[in-house]
Amino acid sequence: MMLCKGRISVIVSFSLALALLASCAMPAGQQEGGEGVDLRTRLIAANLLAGSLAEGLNSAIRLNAVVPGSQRAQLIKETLDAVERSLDGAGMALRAGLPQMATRQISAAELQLDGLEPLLQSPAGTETTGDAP
Amino acid sequence: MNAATVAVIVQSVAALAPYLAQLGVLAAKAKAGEAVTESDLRLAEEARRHAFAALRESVTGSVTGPAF
Repeated sequence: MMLCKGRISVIVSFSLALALLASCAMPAGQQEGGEGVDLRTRLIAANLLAGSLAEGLNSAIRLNAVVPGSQRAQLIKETLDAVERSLDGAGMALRAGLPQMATRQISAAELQLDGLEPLLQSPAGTETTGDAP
Repeated sequence: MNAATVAVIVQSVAALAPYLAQLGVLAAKAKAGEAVTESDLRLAEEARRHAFAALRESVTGSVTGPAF
């Protein structure tokens, strides 16, 4: 039951974040311009998506849907570390006037966030707490 | 759907409220053709860092950020 509730929590958070992100996405034509403002919008959206995902996963952990110390938890942590580095790097690059580098860092963060999706879809009951078999 | 499940969903939505609010601001500015500001970016970064710190603490019991 706890696993079920945790998964619901994560899925609700994830779905809401994606839906809202999609609804506020800039039109493709505007993004192609590569202007700093559009890039900043994309970076803000990526930060908010990452933050909302982190909140959802945090709820799942509180409900024991993800067991702290497990392989899955470690994988989530490693992925989130990568997302944080990329988003921090993107912010630094944008402020330093390096939009191309910022774009690459944002893309990297978005890819890492996509990588979290399979973890959210893991079947209930497959959580392991030990080391690799 | 039982009461416990509803409570979990409500809790999740409540946790997301600050992000939803900021996304709403972002959407409104995009529709109005207004530029987002450095302040908007800093707020989003701060919210993300706060959420990640809390999650990292839950996952590992450590609040330390990524090691560079």
